[in-house]
Amino acid sequence: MTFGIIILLILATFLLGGIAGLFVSVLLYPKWEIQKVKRHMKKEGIGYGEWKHVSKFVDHHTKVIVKPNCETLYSLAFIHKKDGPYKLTMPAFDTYFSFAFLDENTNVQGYFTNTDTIENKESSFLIYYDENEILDKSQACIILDSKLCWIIGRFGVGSLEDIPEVNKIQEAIRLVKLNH
Amino acid sequence: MTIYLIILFFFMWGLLLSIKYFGHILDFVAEKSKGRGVQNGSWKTHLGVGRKSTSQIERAAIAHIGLGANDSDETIYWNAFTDNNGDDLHSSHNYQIVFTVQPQVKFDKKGFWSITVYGNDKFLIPNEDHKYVIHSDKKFELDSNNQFSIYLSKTKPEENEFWLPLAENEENFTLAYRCYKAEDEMKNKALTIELPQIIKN
Repeated sequence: MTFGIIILLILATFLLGGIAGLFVSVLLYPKWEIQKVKRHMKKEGIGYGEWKHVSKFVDHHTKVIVKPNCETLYSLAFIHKKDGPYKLTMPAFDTYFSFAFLDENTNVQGYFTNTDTIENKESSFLIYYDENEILDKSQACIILDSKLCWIIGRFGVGSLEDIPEVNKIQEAIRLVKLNH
Repeated sequence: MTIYLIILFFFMWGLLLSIKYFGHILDFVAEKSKGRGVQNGSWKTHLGVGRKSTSQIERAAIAHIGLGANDSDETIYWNAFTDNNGDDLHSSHNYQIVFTVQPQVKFDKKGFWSITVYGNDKFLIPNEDHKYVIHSDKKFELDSNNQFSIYLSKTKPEENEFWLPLAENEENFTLAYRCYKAEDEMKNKALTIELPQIIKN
């Protein structure tokens, strides 16, 4: 009888641990995934406000991200509130592009895309954390409500021959602290 | 004292196991549960991607299968697991993806669309030509039957550039139909808007 109770207790504890694990995972999974990317970039020596340019398409050998796409190239950066506002400058680009601003829980806070730009001209976009920081209200901007922000730039590539040209554009994107 | 340690051990074991295998639960949530997903024929999408109003379990599932995905204001991601008849997509068959209308994206704002095939493991299907996707930032020409087709098969049909290879192995596969800068109609009438048909030949 005592042995039976102990087995039941162990099973119940195991089950309880499993349920607790599920709760923790549901709450934290998006943050863990973003932190994984951040850690990966840090390992490559890429810090806050610096770009990681993905300069070629993945192929069937790539097993890092499930369901990868093969029609846009990416430029990724993390910024932090402690560094203050930033200015993002995008060179003239005649194809689809977008910069998505994600918080640490994967929510999209806003975009800077080709529809915010004047065709064939370099365009700038300001990134603030506080409405009171805005000096020039005429310029396109976003006000972030999270300390950490993941910027995901996507650039449309018409054909494989266009990749070197898109790579040049990626290298020319600037992300500059406004306080410096 | 020993009994408390045993209890703690089994509690931690359960906790760590459920964390370790959480990805499998998310696979199930992503593929089987409806949640706030929208089903239109063979295609399924989730219009709450990237939004704060999305439930935490759905947010976790989206982070698992599409980390960093755009929200539906910028891109709508449709996924198909079955053909028009509701049968699982399988590499032992040939398929035709038939468009009878232009993809509903804002071509004038540099919007574009793409169709990508993924193997049963959710990764790109190995093939010598490195052909995984068909995409376009231009409107395509409909044929005399008012159709435009993309062909899916193990071997390339003769003289057809609109072909994507299926796995040599006998396995299920999935399709992703991405619409960058989709027309508002695609979001507002997601349940009824005309999407490409997936026909088993």
